[in-house]
Amino acid sequence: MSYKKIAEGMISCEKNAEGQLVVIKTVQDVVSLLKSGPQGKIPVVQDAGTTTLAPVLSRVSGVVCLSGGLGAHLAIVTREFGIPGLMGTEIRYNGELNGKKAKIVALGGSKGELYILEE
Amino acid sequence: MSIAEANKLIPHISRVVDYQVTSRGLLESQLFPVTAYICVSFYNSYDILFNILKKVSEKTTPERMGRESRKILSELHAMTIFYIPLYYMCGRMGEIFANKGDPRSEPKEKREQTAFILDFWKRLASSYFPGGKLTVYDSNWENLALNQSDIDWVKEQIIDITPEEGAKIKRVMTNLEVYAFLDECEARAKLCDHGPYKIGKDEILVFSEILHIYDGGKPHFPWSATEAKAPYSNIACAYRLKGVKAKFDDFSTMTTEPVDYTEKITGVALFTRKGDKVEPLDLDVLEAFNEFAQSAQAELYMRFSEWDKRQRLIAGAFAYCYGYARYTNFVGITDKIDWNLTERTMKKYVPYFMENDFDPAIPRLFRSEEEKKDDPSLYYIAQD
Repeated sequence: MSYKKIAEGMISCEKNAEGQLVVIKTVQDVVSLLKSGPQGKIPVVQDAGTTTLAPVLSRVSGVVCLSGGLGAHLAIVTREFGIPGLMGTEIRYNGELNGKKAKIVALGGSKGELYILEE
Repeated sequence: MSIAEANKLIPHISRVVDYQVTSRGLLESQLFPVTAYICVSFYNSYDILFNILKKVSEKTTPERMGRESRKILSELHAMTIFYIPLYYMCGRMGEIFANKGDPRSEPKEKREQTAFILDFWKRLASSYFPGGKLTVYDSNWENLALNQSDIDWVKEQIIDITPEEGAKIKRVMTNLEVYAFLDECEARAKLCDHGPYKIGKDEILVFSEILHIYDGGKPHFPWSATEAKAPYSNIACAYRLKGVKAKFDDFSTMTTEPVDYTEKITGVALFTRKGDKVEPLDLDVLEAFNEFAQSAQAELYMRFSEWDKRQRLIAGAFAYCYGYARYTNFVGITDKIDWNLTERTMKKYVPYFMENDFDPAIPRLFRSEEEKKDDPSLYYIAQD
């Protein structure tokens, strides 16, 4: 098993994170995550606003966002929580992301990468 | 203000609006159709703002409002003052754009109203910002909302803390910010960062303020009442920072160098406002604020998750336009205003933005400098 890089982006704070990816497409996905426990999870979202992930943001390990930059609300809030938000990224992976063990790596200079653990 | 004078302002306002919108980008959320409701609110503002400011002008002057709003936990501050050119003028931009981009399509009465509104804004802003500036953009990216006497008093209240304690305090404030974003449908309306106030060699104070938190009193919005209740309806956190450069913008948002300033926090003070008085708060109060924020976030999220798109669109537009209640609160006439979206908004723009996420005029803000040179984003006022 090894980690494979699948995305790069701008990172909201220079911290690394490890956790399990949770793909968020609907409000109900967030409700499910809230009920099942957000700790140790890294949500993957499309939108750079704060409200999509609002009730889980303070408890997740990091966030991957497929849009937005470092001025977006989500970037600002993840930075303030001290968790990495990988912003404006495009994921290069065709398989199922949900449940994959992943890590966000800060490279310095507000750049970061996303890796998943592959068998 | 004559129309000619208003037209001298419009290129500058356009530059500031262009900058703010393009640097922030368009935000979206699964919970709220953000860009769509913002567009609805702009058109609604074009309908309602003149009457609101006219009524306010009957009771006070913009100069007085500007001067007296320079204080801790003020409803009127850089961003809420910016609401005037941002919402109204973007709504106007959309209307003119829809009429083949011809400013002469704006009725004469509306042209005069636009000049009145810009005059109000200029007098308010230049009385609020130091040095008679109009925006944070004009003020070297400083948002100096307080007078020296307040800074001197705040300095006396600051207590020394470790970076670890600073990190905990920041987390609580951020949890409250997330609550604020939810209650305001993704808008920053409750939030205001201001500073930097130089207090020593390489030392500054910066403030993070949050207003209209639900404490069991009158809910700010019809949906705001939660089982969870905050200990106070507002809180300001003053951070003393060493070795940090802080910049601000007209959305009252702070960015810092280094980006993460947690290790640079050397002291903090908390405050709340009750009417005319600002009182220091003990740091112990943060635990209650944190519990409130986590519970209220979940409650509001579950509430909104049961609404349909139309309800969330209308709520977001309502919340945005209710930002003007800060002006009517100043003169005590808020309850005399009908804050529901206008009939025109409900009949024309709500249906349109149920089907469209984006106003066709918005790309005007993203044109090149060359294109904007003689045709500023927000259109000149036609002069016959």
